[in-house]
Amino acid sequence: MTRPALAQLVAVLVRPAAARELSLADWDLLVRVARVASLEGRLQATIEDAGMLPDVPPAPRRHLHAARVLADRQHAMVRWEVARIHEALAPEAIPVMLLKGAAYVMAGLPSAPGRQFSDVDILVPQARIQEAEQHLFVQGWVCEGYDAYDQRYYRQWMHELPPLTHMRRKSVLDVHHTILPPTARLHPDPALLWKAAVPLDGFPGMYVPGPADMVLHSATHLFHDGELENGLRDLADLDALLRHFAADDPHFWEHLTARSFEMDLARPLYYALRYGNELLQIPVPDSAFRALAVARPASPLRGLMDGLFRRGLKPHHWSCDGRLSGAARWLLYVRSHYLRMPLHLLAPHLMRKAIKDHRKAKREKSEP
Amino acid sequence: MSVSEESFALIPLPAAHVRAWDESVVVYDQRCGETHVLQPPLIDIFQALQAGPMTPATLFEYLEQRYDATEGDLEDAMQAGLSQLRQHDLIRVSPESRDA
Amino acid sequence: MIAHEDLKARLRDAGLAIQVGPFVVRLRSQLDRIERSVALFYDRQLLPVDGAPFADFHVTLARSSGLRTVWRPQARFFLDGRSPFRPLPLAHAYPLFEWGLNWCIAQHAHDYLMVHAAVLERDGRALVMPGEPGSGKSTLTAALALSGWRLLSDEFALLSLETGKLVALPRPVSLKNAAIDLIRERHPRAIIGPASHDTSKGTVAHLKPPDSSIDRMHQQAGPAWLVFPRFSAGGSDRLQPLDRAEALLKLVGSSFNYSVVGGAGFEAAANLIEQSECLTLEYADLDASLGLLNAVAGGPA
Repeated sequence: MTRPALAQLVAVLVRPAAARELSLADWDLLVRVARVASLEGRLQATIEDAGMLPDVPPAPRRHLHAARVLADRQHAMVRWEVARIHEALAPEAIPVMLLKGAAYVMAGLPSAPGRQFSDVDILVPQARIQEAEQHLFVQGWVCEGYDAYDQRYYRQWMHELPPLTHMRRKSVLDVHHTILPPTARLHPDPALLWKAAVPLDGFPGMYVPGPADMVLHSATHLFHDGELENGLRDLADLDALLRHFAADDPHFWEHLTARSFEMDLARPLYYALRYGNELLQIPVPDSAFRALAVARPASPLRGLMDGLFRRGLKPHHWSCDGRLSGAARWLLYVRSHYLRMPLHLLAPHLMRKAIKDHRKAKREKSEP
Repeated sequence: MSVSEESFALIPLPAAHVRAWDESVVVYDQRCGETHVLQPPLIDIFQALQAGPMTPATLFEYLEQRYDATEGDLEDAMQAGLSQLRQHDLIRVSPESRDA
Repeated sequence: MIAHEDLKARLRDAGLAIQVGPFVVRLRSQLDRIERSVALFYDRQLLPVDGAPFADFHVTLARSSGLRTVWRPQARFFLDGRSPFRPLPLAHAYPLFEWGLNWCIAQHAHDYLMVHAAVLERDGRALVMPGEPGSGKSTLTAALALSGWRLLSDEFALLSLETGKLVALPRPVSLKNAAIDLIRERHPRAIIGPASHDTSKGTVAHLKPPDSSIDRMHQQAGPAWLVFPRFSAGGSDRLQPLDRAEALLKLVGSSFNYSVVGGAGFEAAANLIEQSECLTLEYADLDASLGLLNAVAGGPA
C-alpha cells in the first residue's frame, strides 16, 4: 500500500497544482519524505516552475527554499570544478565526457534545477586514463583515504580510479573509462558512447553523452549499480530527461529503444520505464514497451523483481516502509554487487566491506 | 589598444560583492565561494582594472602616478600583484581568455 | 502554561511542540531528565496541541537499546527516525538535546547566515559576540542578559538573509565550570538547572533566559556592535577597534553555513560589518568588561 505522504509527494511532482490541496499537516510529513528521498530541491524547482511557490505555506516553503539554496551552491561549485578539470586536461588534448549531475548542470538540462549532488563524474578514454590521473594530480587532485585493498578493488575490479579528492577544495572527482565495470555481465561499448557524444559549448574537448545515452546511463546507474537509496530521485531525473528529449525529437523513443539494444542496456531501460511509469507516471508510449518486450525478465523473475524494486525504490523513510522493505533493500544491494563482480570475488568483498563500514561508521559519527 | 597585445581584465563581479574598507578591499567570488582580502598594492591594481582591461604598460603608468618608488621596484610589485590576482582567479589575460 | 502531567503525556505520545525562535520543534521522549528540563526551561514556549500542525524538526530523545546499556545507560538523539550522532551517557540527555537541536538548525536553516555567536540587544540595537570556547562569551552573555540586555541567543546567531537583522533563538544559556557559581552568586534569583558533570566540556548547567527575552522572541534587531571577546586571566579589560576586513574574516570563519549560502551570505556579513562598530574585548574581570560594553551602548542598562 502506498502511504499518503509518498502519494502526495508524487502527486505534486507530477502535477504541481496539487500543492494547493495540501494542509499544513500534509506538508509536515511530505517535506520529511522529500528530504530523505533527496527530492526537496527538485520539489522546490517543480513548484517554482509552475509559478506555485506563493501557494506553499511559509513554514514548509522555508525548507524547500533551503534545499534549493544548497543545490544552487553545489551547481556553482560543479561549474567551477568542471572549468578546473578543463584547465588540467584540455592542454593535453584528453577528451572528457561529463556524466550524471555534472552533465545535467553543464548542459542546462531540466533534470538539473534543485538536484543535489556533490561529486563530479567524468569519463575518459581508457588509453588516456593514467595520463589523466597524472595531470589531475598536478592540479591538486589526489587519491586520499583509501588503503591498498580499496585501491586494488577500484583499479582492478571496478570501472574507475579510486575517487580523487582535491587537496585544497576537498571536492571529489570520479574518473571512469566505462559506465559499467569490466567484470559486469552487461558490456556497453564506450566507443559507441564517445561516437554519439555531444560537444559542450565553451569547453573545447569536453562532451556530454548523447540524449539516448544519457537516459541509458541514468537507468543503468539506478537498476544495475544498486544505488537505490535515492531511487525515486533518480526516476525523477529520468522523467525530466525523457520528457525533454521526447519533446525535442519526435523519433526519440524509437531511437532510445534501438540504442538500448546496441549498448547492451535494454534490461535496465526496461526496468526504468516500467517502474518510472508505475511510481512517477512517466509517460511511456506503448511502442517503447513493445520494443523492449524481449528484454523483459522471464515471468517468475519478473514477479520477484517487481516485489523487490517496488519496495526498494521508495524513499527510505519510516512512513514509506512496509514489512519487507529492509530485506528487499539488502537483496537489491547484494544483487548490484553480483551484477558488477564475479561471484567468487563477491563474498570476501562484502564481508570486508561490512567490517570496514562498521569501523568507519564508528570512527566517523559526529561527536557531540 | 591593440588586440594582439596582452591585457589584463577583471572577472565580472557584482558590485555588492566588492567592499572597499579602510586599507583593504574585500572581494567575494561566487564562482568558487572564496573571500579575498586585498591590500596595497593589490588594491590599486584591482581598482585600476575595475575601470576596464589594461595592458601592462597602461597599468604601470597608473601605478607610477600613485607610488613614489623606483621603476624597478614598482615593476616588481606590479608583477607580484598581478600574479597574485591571477592565482586568486580574479583577473584574466586576454586575448587568451577563458570562461570559468 | 500547561500542567506537568499534560506535558509528560504529550512528550510520550504525539510529541510536545516548542516554539524556539523562528522554529517549531516537536519533541518526543520517555526520559525523565528531558521532561524535567523541558518543563523548567521551555514552559513559556510550549504550543497548544492543535497550534502546530507543521514542525521544522521532529526530535526524539530515547534510551539506547542493547545489552551494554543495561549497566551503562545511554541516550540517543533522533531526527525524524534517523540518528545522526553517537549516543551519550543518559545523564547528558538534556545537553544532547540542545546540542542536537543546534545540529538540526545548522543543517537546514539556510534562510539565515548562521554564526557561532551570542546576540544581545539594547534599545533595538544588537551586540553580536562570536567567541571560541574559553573566551568567556557565555559568562558575559549570561551577566548581560541578567542585567537589562535582551538575550537573543547564547551561541547561535541567526542573521536573516532577507531583512539583514538578527533573529532571536531563545534557549537556555549553557554555563561551564566556574561560571555556574559565579552567576549563581551574582544573581541568586536566576533559574539555573541541575549540573551535568563530565561532559566533553566539563561541568555544564543551563541558565533559563529572562521571561522578557522569551516573550519578545519574535522581535528582530539591527546589528550595532560586533565584539570578539578573548579571556585573558590577570590581564586588563579593554575594548579596541578591529580592522573591518579582519572582522569579516573572523565572522564568516565562525559561521556554520557561509559556504552554503554563497553571495547572499557575504552580502549579509558585509552589511553587518558596515552597520557595526567592530571591536575586540580583552576580558579579565566581569564587572570591568560589563562596564565597558555598557559604556559603548550608552551607559548602564
